[in-house]
Amino acid sequence: MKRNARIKDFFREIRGSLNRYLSIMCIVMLGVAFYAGVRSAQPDMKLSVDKMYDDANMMDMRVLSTLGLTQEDVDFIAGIEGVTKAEGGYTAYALTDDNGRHSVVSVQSIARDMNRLDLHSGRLPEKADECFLDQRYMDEAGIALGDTISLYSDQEDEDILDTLRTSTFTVVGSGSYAWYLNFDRGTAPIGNGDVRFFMMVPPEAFSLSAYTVAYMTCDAVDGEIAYDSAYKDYIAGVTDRVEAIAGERCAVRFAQVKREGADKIADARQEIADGEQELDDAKQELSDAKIKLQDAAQEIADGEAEIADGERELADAKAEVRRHEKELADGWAALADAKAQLEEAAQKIEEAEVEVVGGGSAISNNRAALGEKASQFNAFAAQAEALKTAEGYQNAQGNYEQLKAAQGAGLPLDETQQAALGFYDQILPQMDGALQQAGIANPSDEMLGQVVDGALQPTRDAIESGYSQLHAADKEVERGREALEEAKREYAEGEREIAQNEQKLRDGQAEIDKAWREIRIAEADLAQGKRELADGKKEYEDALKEYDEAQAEFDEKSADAQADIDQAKDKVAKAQQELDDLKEPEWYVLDRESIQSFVEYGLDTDRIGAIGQVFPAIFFLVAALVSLTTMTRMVEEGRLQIGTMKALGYTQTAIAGKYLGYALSASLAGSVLGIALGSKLLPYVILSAYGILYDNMTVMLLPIQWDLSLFALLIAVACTVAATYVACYAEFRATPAALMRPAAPPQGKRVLLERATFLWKRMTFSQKATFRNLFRYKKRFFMTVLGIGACMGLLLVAFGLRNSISEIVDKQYTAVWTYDTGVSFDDEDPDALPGIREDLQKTQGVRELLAVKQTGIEAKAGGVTKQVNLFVPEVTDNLDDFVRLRDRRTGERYALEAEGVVITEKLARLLSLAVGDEIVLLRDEVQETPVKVTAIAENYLHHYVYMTPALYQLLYGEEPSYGMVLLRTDTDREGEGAMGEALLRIDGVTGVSFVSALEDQVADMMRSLDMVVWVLVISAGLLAFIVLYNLNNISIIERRRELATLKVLGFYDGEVAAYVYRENVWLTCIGIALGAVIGFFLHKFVIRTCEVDMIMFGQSIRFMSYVWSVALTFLFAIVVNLLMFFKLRKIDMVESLKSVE
Amino acid sequence: MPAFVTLEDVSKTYRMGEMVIHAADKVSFEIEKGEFAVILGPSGAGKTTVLNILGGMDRPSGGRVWVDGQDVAQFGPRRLTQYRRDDIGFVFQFYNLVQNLTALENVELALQICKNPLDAGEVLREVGLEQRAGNFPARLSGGEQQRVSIARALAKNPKLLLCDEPTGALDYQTGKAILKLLQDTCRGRGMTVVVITHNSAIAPMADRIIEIKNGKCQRVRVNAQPLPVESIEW
Repeated sequence: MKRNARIKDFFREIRGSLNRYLSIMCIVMLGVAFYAGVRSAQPDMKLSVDKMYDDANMMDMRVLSTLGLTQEDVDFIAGIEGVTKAEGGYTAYALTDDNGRHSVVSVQSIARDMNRLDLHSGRLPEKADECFLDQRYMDEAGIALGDTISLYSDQEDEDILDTLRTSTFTVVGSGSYAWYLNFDRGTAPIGNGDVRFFMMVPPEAFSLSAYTVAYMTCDAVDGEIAYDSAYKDYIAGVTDRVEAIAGERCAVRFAQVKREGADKIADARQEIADGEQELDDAKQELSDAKIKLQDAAQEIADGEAEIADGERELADAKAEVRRHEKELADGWAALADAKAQLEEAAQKIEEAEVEVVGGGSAISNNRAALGEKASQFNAFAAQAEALKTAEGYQNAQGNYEQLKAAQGAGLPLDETQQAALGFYDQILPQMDGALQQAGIANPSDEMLGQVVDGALQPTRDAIESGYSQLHAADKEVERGREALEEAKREYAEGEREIAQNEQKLRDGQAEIDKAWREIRIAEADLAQGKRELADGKKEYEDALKEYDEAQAEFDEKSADAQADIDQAKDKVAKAQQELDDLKEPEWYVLDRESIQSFVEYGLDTDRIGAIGQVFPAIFFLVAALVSLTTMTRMVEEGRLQIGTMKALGYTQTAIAGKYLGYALSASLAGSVLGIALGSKLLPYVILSAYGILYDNMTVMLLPIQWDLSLFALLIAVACTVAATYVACYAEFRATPAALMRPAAPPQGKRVLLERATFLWKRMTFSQKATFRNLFRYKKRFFMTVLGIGACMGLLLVAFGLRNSISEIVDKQYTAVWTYDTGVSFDDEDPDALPGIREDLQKTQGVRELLAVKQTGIEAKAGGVTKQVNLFVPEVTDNLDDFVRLRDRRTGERYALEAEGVVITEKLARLLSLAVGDEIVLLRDEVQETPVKVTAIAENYLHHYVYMTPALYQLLYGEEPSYGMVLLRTDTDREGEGAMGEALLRIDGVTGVSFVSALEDQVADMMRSLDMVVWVLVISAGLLAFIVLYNLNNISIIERRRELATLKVLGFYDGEVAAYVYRENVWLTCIGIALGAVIGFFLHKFVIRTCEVDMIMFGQSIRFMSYVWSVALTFLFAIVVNLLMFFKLRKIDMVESLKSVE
Repeated sequence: MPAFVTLEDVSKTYRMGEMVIHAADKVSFEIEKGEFAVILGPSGAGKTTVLNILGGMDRPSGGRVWVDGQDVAQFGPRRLTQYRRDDIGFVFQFYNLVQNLTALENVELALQICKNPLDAGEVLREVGLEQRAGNFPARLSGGEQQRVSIARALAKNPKLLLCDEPTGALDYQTGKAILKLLQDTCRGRGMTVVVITHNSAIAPMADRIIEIKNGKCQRVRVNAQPLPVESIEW
């Protein structure tokens, strides 16, 4: 019965004060949920990743050797205690063409028994030319199954085929690899240093002689979380054991490599010698060829000369022949003439013969005539004697006259008459003439004699001369005969001669004909010779061309070959050097702590853990305090009942039982709900948020972390119950009678402020009242201030976190990087820049440009090494237009100085560097260059070391090779697509990146943390709400009488509320002030713990965040106070004032 | 012209499940301006109910309550509040002082909302507490607290001063002193004072005695010759 009554009372109590019960439950739930939830996130994350690694049977350890590992090494490792399995593998870096850009690929062999891949599509590679591709890259680059990927090596003198059997792989499958949990694919010593994607190939695809890595699994620690010390301790033990055999194995390997190296060098030397020999041979051959060619040229020249001679000779011969011909023709002509002459001569001879004969006969005739004449004359002269006498004369004259008359008469005259007449004609006229002349008319005889003689004399003379003439003619004829004889002789001679000549001519013609024939033959020969020469010449020219080509080729190739040989020599020398320098190999025994993304994830879980250390504690504290106040109030309210029960004789335990039970059940229920909700929801949200960053995290385990949960539950329950017990205990000390009297209300007290009379006097009445009240309920004051402060602090951290994150984007991309576009090109080609610069200047929208060198190096200081970007602008005077180097706090601008570098703020912090310190820059992991830090510049993403080109030259002894041009453009976001295309069309440009696009990318990335921010905002709101509601509720109940009195006095509802609100406003204000301080420091703590190495969060909370936090806190306060307004209005004056409690 | 205060058939019923309790059952009486009226009756007779209705702290279920020509029964919550604030001064058995305010401040609290208040210090002096003005209620004796309470009510310069068992928690002498203060106030200021008491011995000092029993007004007597408090013994 008793028990029943008490149980009934208990349940009625709960039902009657359900608000209170629920508020305790809620606040406990919230506290526990937050505590268990946020704290569970870390173990859940670790568990999830561990599960994932176990599922993939990821290696627990791996051994890297500076000289590679042999199967024997692997076998030895496998034999080590604790090592379940060991397997050799290959890893290599190669380059591939990724849309015109050289991207680094991490090529790895697929392990047989471990490091399982998570296949998303396709199948695992089976053949040496098949590969499994990074899903992320597949998606980003739009590669499909069946596509091929071609690899090439970084160095020109290195062949990818030295490492791999083939350079082209067919993509047969894709997916993720637990090695890479996030988007980061690590770094590589080649290309731009950033691994773009990984590619898994069968081990057969590698042509390396030794494994590059040996993976190990240790099944003994499968049950342990890899981040935990149990795991680490075990692995440390195995590591020690592996390291123990390392020395021996290394010595073996060293000897082997030395031997192999020596062999190889010998081979290489032989090869070089062969190569040189070959080169020499080629040279010799060429020079032989040259000599031959020269001979040939000589020959051709000779041949040409010969042909020229031949031609000339031929021409001469022809001319001669022609001359001969002409001569011959002349000969013939002459012959013909001669013949004609001969003919003529014959004619003449004939004539002459005739003449001679005629002459002879004429002469004979003439002689006869002359004889006759002489006889006649003698007759005549004899007759003429007769005339010598005058008679004789007279007679003769007479006769003559007669005859003449006869003749005249035409009488025929006989011969004697005629002779007489002839005679008379001849002499008489002459005598008459001579006598007449002499004038002698009667010539004397004598005289007659003379005249007759005179007349006869001419005849005589004529006969005489006739005779002499005849004699002369005889002589002439004789001479003619002789001449004729001569002519005849001559003729015969001529005839003979002609015949002879004709023969000669005929012979000459024959000779000429022969000559022509010969000439034709010679011509044919010459033509043949010419043809042959032409052929020969052509052949020669071909040969020459061939030779020239060969020479050119030789020149070209020999240079190359020589270069190759030199290089090979260098290489051999280097190899020799290397071999000589070769240190005994070292083993690096690495565990999962060497898996970058795994470690990063671990660090992220630590960050969440750090948040888990702070935030839930605040919630929990507030929750505990709230339930404490609530329970205390409840016990106080139950004072009368306690007294009554006590008076009735109930034991303290029985009485306290009700309150303890109330507190226990409320807090227990709240805790259980909180555990259920918190353990599942919060880690889910947090893991999902991180899942955005760690997109390969496929496992999400959200078990209830019983240790944490039970701890939270125990603390929550213990706090509440203990608070209740303490409150009860205070009441129990009083006697029942005292309990049944109303508790003396807390005394009014002057507050400290009143001592400042001048201030107090100036305050209005309500202000005074407010201040009194504020400090009157100290517990409530602190609780409220703490609650609001926590809310404000959380909001501030939440908004501050958003600020810090968005500031990375805002400040990095607008304040630090003031350029708009980066254009990259091949920096290997030093001639590319001018052309590209010119083209860029012509591109629409480009306002200003700056060439820069950006390259990944390592920077070291105080034993800490960080990956940084070395940034060298071509010119420094307009650098400020592109990248602003300034102090984050003061905004002071820095210029690059000749004597040192400007480094970025986060780097300075990580390396603990101040201005004036020295930073050591490492290039190629060997060359250490210390340099002074002249300034530390604001920067949020990645680390940068800025230096002038002059300093670069000084430090590295070479001109910086610029591979990028930064642009400032007039283009807005819409125009960037077109601009990008235009830029990419420029010859040599391999990539274009817009700052705005980067901005979007990073903003996307940061969205994951945004979720955490919202969780915090909502939690803060809930916290504020529950705390304020609860406390206000208590406050109203506590002050019901006072408020009723005010109402009786005629305070309007609004005035009553104002009376309360004034206090709340003050409480809220104080809480906000406290919250601002809490938030400020908490924000600092959180960003320092959340921040990853590569990123510097914005360090400050923006003013607007304060405004928002204050506004939201006020909003929550106002909402709670508005709800309270109805409660206030419901206060019944009559009822409140009637009873005295 | 009707009386300063007139109650006409004022009823107040509470419904407790099936039962209907008549806390006041058609109570009617009048009080003239400047009168010292005593409502007399045993515990639970409904005196406080009537006073609460008269003071605007409660609304009657029926009837009319005329105060200075206004029907208070018809007032809405806001008018009622205004009525309380401007026209009514309340004095409670347990003083109901604000613990966190000094005596003077408690008086001032009431003055905050008044149209034409009296000077708080002056009123406190009138009730004889000028020396304790700066003290918190916890430091004051019951009588002193009640004086503060009265001063708080008076300072508002109300039309009606309603006192619910003002001496209930006080010893005899103090009680008398308080009653004297009330009577003096009534006389001195011409204030209409209504005092609830179960102590019939006090009745002779009133101008009008209203007897209430079982929620009903039994009798209203007008005392033509009220006695001074000093002469009353109980």
